Amino acid sequence: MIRVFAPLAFTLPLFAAFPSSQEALDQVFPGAQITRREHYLTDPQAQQVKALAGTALSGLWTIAYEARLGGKLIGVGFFDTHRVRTLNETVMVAVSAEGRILRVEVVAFREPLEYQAKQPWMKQFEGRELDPELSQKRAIRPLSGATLTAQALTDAARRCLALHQTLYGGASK
Amino acid sequence: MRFTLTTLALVLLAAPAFTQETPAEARLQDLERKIEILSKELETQKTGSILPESGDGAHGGSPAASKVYAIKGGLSIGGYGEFLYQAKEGRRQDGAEGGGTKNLDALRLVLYTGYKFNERIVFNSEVEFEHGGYSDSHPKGEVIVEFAYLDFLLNPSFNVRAGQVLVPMGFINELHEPPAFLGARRPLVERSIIPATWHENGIGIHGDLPGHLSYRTYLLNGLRADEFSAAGIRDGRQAGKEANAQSLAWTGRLDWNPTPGATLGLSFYTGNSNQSGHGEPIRTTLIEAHGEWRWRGLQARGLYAQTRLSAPGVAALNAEDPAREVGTQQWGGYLEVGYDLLQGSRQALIPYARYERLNTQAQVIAAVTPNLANDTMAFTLGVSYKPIPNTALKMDYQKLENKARTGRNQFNLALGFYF
Repeated sequence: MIRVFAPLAFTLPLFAAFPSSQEALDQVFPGAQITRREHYLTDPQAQQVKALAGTALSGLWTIAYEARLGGKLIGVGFFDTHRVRTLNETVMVAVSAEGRILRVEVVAFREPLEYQAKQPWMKQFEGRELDPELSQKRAIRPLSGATLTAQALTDAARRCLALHQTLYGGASK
Repeated sequence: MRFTLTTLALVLLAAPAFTQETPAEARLQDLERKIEILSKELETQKTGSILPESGDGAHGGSPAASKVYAIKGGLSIGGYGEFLYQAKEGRRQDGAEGGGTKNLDALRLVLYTGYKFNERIVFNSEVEFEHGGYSDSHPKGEVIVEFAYLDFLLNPSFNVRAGQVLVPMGFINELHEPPAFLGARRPLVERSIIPATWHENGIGIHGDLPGHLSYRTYLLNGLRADEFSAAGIRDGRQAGKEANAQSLAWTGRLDWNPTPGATLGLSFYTGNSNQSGHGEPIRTTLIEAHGEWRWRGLQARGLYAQTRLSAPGVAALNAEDPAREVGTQQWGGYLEVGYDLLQGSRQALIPYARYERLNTQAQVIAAVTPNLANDTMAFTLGVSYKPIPNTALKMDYQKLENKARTGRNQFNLALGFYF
């Protein structure tokens, strides 16, 4: 059986070839100028992010990828790394200038793949803003069999929206 | 991370002592450049993904070569456990007093271990200690491999799995971490009709299909009919232990997720359970349908399963063999609903109810009289409290009745966790 399928393995696309960070940004901000910007949060800013997100912040050092078209800031991409069970995943959360999620995309997933959320489930985040509806008990439907993944992704979405609101005032300038 | 950055910055700031001949402006630019390089390096390590090559500028379509599979390989560990207290009432359904029983069990402690050899070949396993594990002085316990397989990941729609696998039927058999289901005890239907946890040796394929569909199908060693009983096919499982594979079986499952939170699915199992290699075949076929709906704190699921065994094969078993009492038709189903009362909180408090009906001897061969105690109804009412999603404390009361009127109600308390 292995002899039969092994050659196939090298001709078919990868099961889970995640986009790189650059590809994820290109897909959500096509044609935009991307600028990497580091933010060092002050303690009050960190407290604000935590309060808005309702979940912990991993540190004060945050990278934002600002996307501009014609010089105008059209959105920001954040990369959030968090633990799922015992291992990490990293997702890009792209936020529009108006403070709504444009896309959530997995760029690294270290747990077994059966715990990974599929794209149709991830689409629930698109268009969401930072409000009480962004919760698994409200607008976000739970993910059967991958509860911890669903919770981690919901937390990441809230955290990135809170960062956007704190660093860019909700509506990007 | 902050400590590392600070240390690196201090080292770099000390550098001017050795490069006094460089103009201050140039040194500052050099330091900024080095800090930016280190910052990107740290970001790459933290996220595990390749970052944009340039700090700014337009990015066109990236070459396919830039695709990376971020998991380089290695060990993955998970697990779950559950402790169960059961207090059965002494009074039977017919009013007879039989004396109550109370039991406190370290029901399960499970370790998942996986290893990713490369991006295409992954090992995954579950080793379970039941009832506190096994020792010579406590032989009721068990240490057992519940699954251990290699996945050959070829394509989202076509992947190969081989080893000891979980039979892909129902809800509980594949997803049985205690916080993932309501009820201190698993549903009776998914114990007696679908004999969870049901795992056998085999090989098969799995994947996702267009239209929000996913499937799994395997060829397995079959059940052993000579271990069947009036209680069902449960004891016929071979669990991968030097499994007799004279007769193979085929199982499969198809799930449809039309929208997040909704699942509709079907599954089946069919095979000859006569493992003697001769004599009348005992065709054993299970079919099952399930549905689940989760929406805003509400979770509801339903399942129906039925089993058919070929009567001539069962009748051909040795006249003294208790396996002849197995139902040639068995069926069961349940409906379950729960609602999370703590809407504004990360904690969960979920009152739930479950109604079950099952009969493991709905039909039997002519020479056997069915035991009416196997025609069962169970109604469960309880509450699950989850301080975090990984842990659950569940408490319920079960009304258990059967046609023989020997049912005894019971109170259950369970503590479960997973990681």
